[in-house]
Amino acid sequence: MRKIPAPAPNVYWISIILLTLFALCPLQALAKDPVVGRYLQASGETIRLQLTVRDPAPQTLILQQLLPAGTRVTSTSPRAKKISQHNGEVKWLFTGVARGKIEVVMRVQPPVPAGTVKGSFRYRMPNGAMREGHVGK
Amino acid sequence: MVKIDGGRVRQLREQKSLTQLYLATAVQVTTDTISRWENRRYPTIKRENAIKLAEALEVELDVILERQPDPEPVSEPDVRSSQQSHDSFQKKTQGPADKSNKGVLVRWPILLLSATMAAVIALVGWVYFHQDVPTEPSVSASRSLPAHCTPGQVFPVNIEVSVKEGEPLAFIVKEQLPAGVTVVNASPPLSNSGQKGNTLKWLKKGHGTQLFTYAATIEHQFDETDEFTGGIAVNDQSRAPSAIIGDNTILVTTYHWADSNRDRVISDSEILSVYDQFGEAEQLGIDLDLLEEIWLGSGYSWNPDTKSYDILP
Repeated sequence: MRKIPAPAPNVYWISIILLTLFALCPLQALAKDPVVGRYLQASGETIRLQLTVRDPAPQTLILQQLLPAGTRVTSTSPRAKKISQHNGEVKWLFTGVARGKIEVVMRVQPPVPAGTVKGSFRYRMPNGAMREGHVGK
Repeated sequence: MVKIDGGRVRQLREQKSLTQLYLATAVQVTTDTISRWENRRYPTIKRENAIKLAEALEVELDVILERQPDPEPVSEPDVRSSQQSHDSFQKKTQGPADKSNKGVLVRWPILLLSATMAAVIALVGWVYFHQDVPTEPSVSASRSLPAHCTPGQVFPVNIEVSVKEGEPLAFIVKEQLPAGVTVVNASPPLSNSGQKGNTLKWLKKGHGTQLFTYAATIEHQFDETDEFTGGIAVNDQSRAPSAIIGDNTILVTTYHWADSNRDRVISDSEILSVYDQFGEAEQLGIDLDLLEEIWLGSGYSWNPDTKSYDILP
């Protein structure tokens, strides 16, 4: 009967190193982000995005959208805390955030081309660490 | 027929500077025969030829005869050959052992890993089963307050109390305020004895982590540091109150209390910290609208004349 050769010593060392790294790696680093954002509609006169909040949900969340120069915001829902016409910055501050979905609608003039609106959000984790995410397509 | 030592014959001939021709003539054989005797191609020769050979070499017959193997250590040429055979024997016998040594070398990392994991499991188990069960309640409290504030502006103070016992425990939180500090509001509300002079008191019953927050103002001059002190007393006269640890000083400056890095801007991180740490700040009388205005602007400055903040657009 043909004998199966023993694995090379390198395999053992690689296994030990991988196991050690896995044991030392904080679980938080492996966990999914609690907040994820995506655009439902990112062009035209109506910009619509959705934020999905999972546990552990942050208590407070800041959303920022940057519009192309010359774009005027005619309305926001929920109401934005800040609308800056000169630099196209629109900011929201959500407090008392709970697990679920947050939908934000912004109407602009003139209609914006696709890919010209950039969204980002910031929040604090339970351990105090700041997290930032970008609103995807 | 006798066995001669051909090497010995050659050695003796060369010592006496004799030629093979001379020996051949003396023994009455050919030089080829002498050569073959010396090279041991004819290990045995006629006894009479051996005698003639010995006479030609002027030695006794025994000197040129091949010696029988004896128990004593042999001469050098023989030792070398026997050592080689011994080494080869050793190699043969060591073959399987080499493989076993190799097997140990290959396997020792995994043995080390197994031993380490077993030691970690044993240590965790030992700690778990040997940890002391608390025989008396453990109560601790820590205070967090801003590093600085502006005179007359309301700032929040948090006292977090941890009671480590299963059954609800009655305890008193006592906070001693420095001179010049005025309490605006508190959550939960102060006990009936409430505020006496510069002392705040809460009477509570519970377990786990509980938060006590109050809002205060300071009317001191600039650059003066004030100290906050306090303690937790439980319903056990045998135990002395535990001191409240954590922040105990605040600097009266021109910086907003939420501007933790003193860059005259309320950043996203700073406003998130305020809302996360002081959820009931607005109910305590803290002007969060003002804070948001500063956050939305590009900065602020303290106006000592109006005793308010000038917000930069």
